[in-house]
Amino acid sequence: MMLVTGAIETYAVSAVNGLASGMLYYTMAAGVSLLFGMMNVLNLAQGVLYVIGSYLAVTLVSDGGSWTSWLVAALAVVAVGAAAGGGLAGMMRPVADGAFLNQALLTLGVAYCASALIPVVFGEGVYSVAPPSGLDGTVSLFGENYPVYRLALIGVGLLLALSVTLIVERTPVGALVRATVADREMLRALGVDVRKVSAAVFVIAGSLAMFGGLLGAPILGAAQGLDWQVLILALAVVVVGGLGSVKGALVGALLIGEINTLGTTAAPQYSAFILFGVMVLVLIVRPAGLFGDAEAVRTA
Amino acid sequence: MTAMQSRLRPALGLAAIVVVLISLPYWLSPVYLTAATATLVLGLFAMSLNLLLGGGGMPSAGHALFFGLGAYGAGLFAVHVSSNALLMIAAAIGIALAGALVTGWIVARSSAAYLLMITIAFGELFAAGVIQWRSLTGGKDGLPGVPAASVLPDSTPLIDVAPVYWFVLAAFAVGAAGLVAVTRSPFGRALRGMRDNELRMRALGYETTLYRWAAICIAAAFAGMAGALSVVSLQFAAPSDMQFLHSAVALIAVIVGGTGRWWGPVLGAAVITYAGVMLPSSLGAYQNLVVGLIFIAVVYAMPGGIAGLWERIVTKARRG
Repeated sequence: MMLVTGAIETYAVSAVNGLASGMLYYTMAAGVSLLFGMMNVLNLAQGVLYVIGSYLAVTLVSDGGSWTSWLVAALAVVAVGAAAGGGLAGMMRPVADGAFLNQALLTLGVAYCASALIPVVFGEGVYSVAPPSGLDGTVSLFGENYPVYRLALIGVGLLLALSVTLIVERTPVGALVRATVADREMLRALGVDVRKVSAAVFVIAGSLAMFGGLLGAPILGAAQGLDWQVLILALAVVVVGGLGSVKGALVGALLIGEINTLGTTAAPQYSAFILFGVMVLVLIVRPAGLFGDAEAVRTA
Repeated sequence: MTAMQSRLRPALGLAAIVVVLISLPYWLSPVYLTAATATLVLGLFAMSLNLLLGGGGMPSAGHALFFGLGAYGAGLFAVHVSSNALLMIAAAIGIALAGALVTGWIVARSSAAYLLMITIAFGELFAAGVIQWRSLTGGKDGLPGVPAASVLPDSTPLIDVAPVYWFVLAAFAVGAAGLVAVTRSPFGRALRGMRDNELRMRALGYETTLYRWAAICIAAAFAGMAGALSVVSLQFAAPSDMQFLHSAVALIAVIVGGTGRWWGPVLGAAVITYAGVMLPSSLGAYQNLVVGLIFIAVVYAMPGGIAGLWERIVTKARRG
């Protein structure tokens, strides 16, 4: 196959690309995973939030990619993402607790509507965004010219993942989140307003996904249909990584990112089947995903 | 009301509906008739999904995988082997079953949200595979050159709107009857038992995973049949047949129509299809928005869908 002809360097570059796309998947998957682990809520609107972030980047970032415009765009996506997450949390309130299908369908309906409005609000074309000035060049990597922006993206992504992990695992707020994942009823009995905790996670998940859309805009651009593509990859990440675990979301995202890009380099004809095969393998060996709780698969 | 009457009335109602359905080509404009064909295709597809959702409590969001496998199976069969419509349907069912045997084995081991995600992922990955395998499938542009199907070796091919409609209607009737029979069989009852209380069914000695696997395979066979009907009526198959948005449309049809009655999903399919046709073309961009809004409205205001609403009205009327 093509493995023979491809030089090691090509694969090394692909592997770095895989890290970059993995970071993008993580921004969506972390929210999906936590929301599900905590509230049994499957948020299918994460993909559309991501892509709105990309479109906001298209609108706000100047042609040269000046740092001011990037800063404005970053603040905007975080604010809009938080508002959207809060809105979703509000919409969930009237739906009965535990009616997971109705909740999932509600987020799907929202995603459908938002997705239909995107071409009306932002136009129908395919857009690209300039990386921040100074990061738009290339560096030599494994003998090839590699875009600096992708390296920066990997850095920012790792930083994000690190802070999310630290917040969830080392802070009192994170303890509350983890406690909700573990036993919502007990927490409620202890007098904690679980709905506030989950609304907070909705808000954070929304900002994270939209911020991901901003980060990804110089690479993936903004186009119709992108929302569903990234949503599906995020779901694959969560399935492989395991629900309810931020660590699982990170490992799953990197794994899916790598398999996707390396598979495409090695056998572009069959990369989807390779991804499929790995997912099936993981699910056969560990039905709850790499870091998931085995109980959750059945009783969720 | 005597027992005889109570049995006669639904039968008479059904007969009246059948007569109306058969006569549609005589008084419906071609655009609306094409929509009727599309409704039957989506209706059968949604009904098969309802075997999983309403029957088994399995919220598959990747059911279009089997519709798409059926569509490509039927289309490729027509291109390479024979354009006999019945053989095309058989090929579609065969390949959809094969896909369900493999994926269903894993899907049956999960439940609820996990099942929902795994099924989405499977459907999308297969669709991506179809897009990449250009030499066989025509890639993302869809399968080209599917000939018009014919029912008998020498009969005229199904091209005109009316014959296509009648053929799809007949096939739909067979498929719907099959699905209703499965739902009412002991198997269907065991499935509903698992939906309501899996632990108890397991304690009673039911191999629940095996039952769920079987249900996925049966539902896949009928979804594949719907896929074949889609190819017969459109002479075309595309990766989008298999993709998440198509699964979502079927899911919406089931939820809008209601899971409780067999005709619920068909009614939901009609609402979605005709909402698209009757919307003024100036609102074309908003078609998905309308579908999304219907969806949200049903979740909030009409749990149980149209069938649920019907049930409540009937109960109220009986109480007087």
